[in-house]
Amino acid sequence: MAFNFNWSPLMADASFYTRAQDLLTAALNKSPKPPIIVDDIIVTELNLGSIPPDLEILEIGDLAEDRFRGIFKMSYTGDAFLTLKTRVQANPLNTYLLTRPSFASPLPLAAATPLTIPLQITLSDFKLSGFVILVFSKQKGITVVFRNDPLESLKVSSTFDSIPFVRDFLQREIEAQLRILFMDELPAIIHRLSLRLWVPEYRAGEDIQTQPEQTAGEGPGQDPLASPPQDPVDSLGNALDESEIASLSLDSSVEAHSLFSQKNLLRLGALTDSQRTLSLFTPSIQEVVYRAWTSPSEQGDANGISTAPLSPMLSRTHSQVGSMSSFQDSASIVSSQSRSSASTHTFSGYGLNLGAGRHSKAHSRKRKKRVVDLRRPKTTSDTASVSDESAYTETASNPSVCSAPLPVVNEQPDPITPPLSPESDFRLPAIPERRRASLSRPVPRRDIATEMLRETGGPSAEPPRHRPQPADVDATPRGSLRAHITAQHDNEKQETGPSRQLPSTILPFTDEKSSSSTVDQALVERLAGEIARRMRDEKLMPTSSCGGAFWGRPDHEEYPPPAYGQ
Amino acid sequence: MLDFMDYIQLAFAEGTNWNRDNSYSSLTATAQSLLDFSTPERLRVHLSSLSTPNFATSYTLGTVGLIDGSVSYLYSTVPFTNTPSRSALIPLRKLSPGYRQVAPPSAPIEDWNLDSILDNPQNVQPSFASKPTLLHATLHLPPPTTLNALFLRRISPTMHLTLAVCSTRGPPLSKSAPQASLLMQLSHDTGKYSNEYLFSTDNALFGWRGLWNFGPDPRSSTDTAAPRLSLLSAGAEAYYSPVSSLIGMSTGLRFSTLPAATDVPASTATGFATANQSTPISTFPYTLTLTLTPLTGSLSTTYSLRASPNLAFSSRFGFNVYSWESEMVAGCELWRKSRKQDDGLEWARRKMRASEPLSLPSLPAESKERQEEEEATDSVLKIRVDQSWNVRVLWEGRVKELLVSAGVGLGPSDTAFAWMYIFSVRAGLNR
Repeated sequence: MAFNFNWSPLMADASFYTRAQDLLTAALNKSPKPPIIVDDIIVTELNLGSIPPDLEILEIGDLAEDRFRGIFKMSYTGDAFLTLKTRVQANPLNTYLLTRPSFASPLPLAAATPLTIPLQITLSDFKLSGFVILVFSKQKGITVVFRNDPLESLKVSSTFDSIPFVRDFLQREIEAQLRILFMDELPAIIHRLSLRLWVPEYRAGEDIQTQPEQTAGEGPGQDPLASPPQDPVDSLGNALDESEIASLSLDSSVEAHSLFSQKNLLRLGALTDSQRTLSLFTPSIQEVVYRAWTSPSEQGDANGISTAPLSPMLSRTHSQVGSMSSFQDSASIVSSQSRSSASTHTFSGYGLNLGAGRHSKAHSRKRKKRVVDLRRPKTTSDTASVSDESAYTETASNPSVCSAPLPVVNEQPDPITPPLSPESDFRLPAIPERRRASLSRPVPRRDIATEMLRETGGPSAEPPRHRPQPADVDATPRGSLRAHITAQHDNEKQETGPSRQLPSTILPFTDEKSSSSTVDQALVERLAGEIARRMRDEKLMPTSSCGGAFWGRPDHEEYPPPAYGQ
Repeated sequence: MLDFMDYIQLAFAEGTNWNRDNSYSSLTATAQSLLDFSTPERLRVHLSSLSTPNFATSYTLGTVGLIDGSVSYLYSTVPFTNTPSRSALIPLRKLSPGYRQVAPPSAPIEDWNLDSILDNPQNVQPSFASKPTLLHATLHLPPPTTLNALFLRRISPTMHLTLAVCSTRGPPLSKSAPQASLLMQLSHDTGKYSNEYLFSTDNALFGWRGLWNFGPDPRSSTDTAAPRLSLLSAGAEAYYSPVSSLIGMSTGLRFSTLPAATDVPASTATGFATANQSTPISTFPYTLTLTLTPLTGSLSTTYSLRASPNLAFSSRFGFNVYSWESEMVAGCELWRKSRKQDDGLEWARRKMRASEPLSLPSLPAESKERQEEEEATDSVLKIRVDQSWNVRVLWEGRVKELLVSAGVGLGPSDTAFAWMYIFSVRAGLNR
């Protein structure tokens, strides 16, 4: 088992630093200050640096979707730094007298005249080493405790560096204060931060703010599933702790975050029921326990006991993305990969690396590697990056079900589906989403929704690039925008019309797009060529490994391809 | 307002002819009492009595918020037979320090010991017979119990020993502060100069304070010389702790008019006096001080004057050459009499007195009268304001037979508070 711990996404969030500065300032001023410090300590600069700490897993005590307990050995010698500003009393006699009762003090006439000096301290060259106990619970947030004193050394540089006595004194005092900070204050800060992210009361506050826009964006044909889970995606990429958690904890838990909100569980249950009873094409999935009922089997999954864990996953996929194309994916997986590449593809796309890893595990009975890549892969070359990005976007957005424009492809193979032009409106929103994704990491879904509304009108060159992805096609829960029935209808269609047909449909589509927009023709052509090449590659791949095939691009090769198939 | 126990200690110093003003620590006493007075913060009741001439007790009870209190006992080998201890009789000027008129330096009285013993034969006791001694202890009761103990002893006419112990059971204010500390202070005052040597067990702090009075040596000068009109004094202090490398020092300079400068006006018809008259120093008493703290680069000057017996002003300007911080404080005190109706013609009478040079016999009576006037005041109002408009107002006076002190502090940095402070001294036994 391995964890991939991404350090830099934390840096990407601008608000993270200001918030962390505020929290640190509050924490530093809360504990009683030594009398030599006569003013509040203000954190003026904070940078976590680019060198991540080394984490070594010593013990994992508890592992489940919504909780995690483990012990790490952490060592850090990074380039983080911290700048503090305060005022100090430069007359030692003054501080001496302040801390003494006046009765037996010498009461000097003027020798104790105060002299306050502004002081700026920069702490750098942190060397930390210690054992960290990390406890994560969805209900109670994150608790990080240092088992020992983690501070090995640090460099204190201040305005008084030229005076050795003062410098040594400051070094001593600050080290002592920092030890307190690490042992007492930091856990409290992190806990508070995590509570803000996961505890429903906190979330509720956020939702109230964001929901109006969102509902407006969804429009009339709103699917209950389409409305994003309130907590998850947002939390997925937002703050340091979160992403940390995501990377540290099980993928399953991440999925749970991204797929379910407590409010939606009931709706999911109703949906699955309806599918069983009313669906036009709903394969009855044997020996599958729906997610809403499956806590025990999930735990089994966590322990890696059997294939049972697979079913909750599938059902979840089914229920969430379910009314749409990915629906079959689950079916296909259950039926051991007799599916078309598109569907499998969707599936892997859906779970992103996480999902892929998980399924591979499920099939091979062994979990090889679990990677939560919250960062956008850096793209260098134009065309290659395009595909990567789109794929990435999908993975990020898919869990959140609704926003992605992808279903287009689903419909396209189907002659019966409505003409493309009306849909173009819906597709366009993909642009902002993609852009966002390219900017950093997966974007909170609500933002996407709102973005969609705003930018629907503006066509650009990007949609064509985006479209071509067969993965997009299937994975996109865009069906949410349309009626369920349509989605299911699509599913049906897709069953009959495998994704092999995609290239033919896609290319014209691209053309159409380009014509409507003011795109550089050359670019479009290049894109088309790229797409065609890709399609060709895909065809070449054996059907069984199609999921891996698509993802087997250079960028993703480091990750083991899903083991299922053959 | 001074505590009753402080008042008794003051009386002890007076009774043993110890000039507290001739010390570097009281160099800026005038400005401090006019500018740095503290306003009471909580309701507090003091109940004190001088039960016997040698023994005094005091109880305080503070309310509002938490209830705290203290119990104090004081024993002195010097009887306070002539010290008024009823709250209705204690002169307010002594309880509420204001403009302090510096007395001309005087040589120590060599035979005070004999006198006191002869005057008070009942005081002759085995251990403390030879040297006046004062013992005082205060126990502050609410659970972080604090015990303050004081031991004063006049070792010789020029020597004064003070031992102060402070012991608390509560957590100290800082980690380096011990729970108990002892301060020893040995003062040596010859009139011409005075030295104080201090040692505190807290961080092994050594201290020294010295004051030098310029002018003729009072020990060698004779009484025939004309009274001095002004006094220039210079002093310094230094502190050092070898344990914690604590260093502190300051120097100071004071120029002050003496009572003769304002009382003399031409009443002594001598050539010397006329010379004075031609170049009068002042028609009102004033004090100038300058203190320097070289280590922290701060200097401070004060100017205090007593415009009339009932009105005094003071101002202070402080500046730090390192941080460029400055301070400006101004304050005044206003005494009010209730018994005597002031008809507003006092200035005219004074002028008439001054214009009648040959009223020699009336002079003692006049000064005596003035003394009475001063002591008959029954309330004082002090106001101070600084450059950031922090205003403090303190009123002290008598309500019936109670001594009351009430104050308020207002300002942008101070949170406004107004608490009453009731100071009650009821002497059970006056004799």
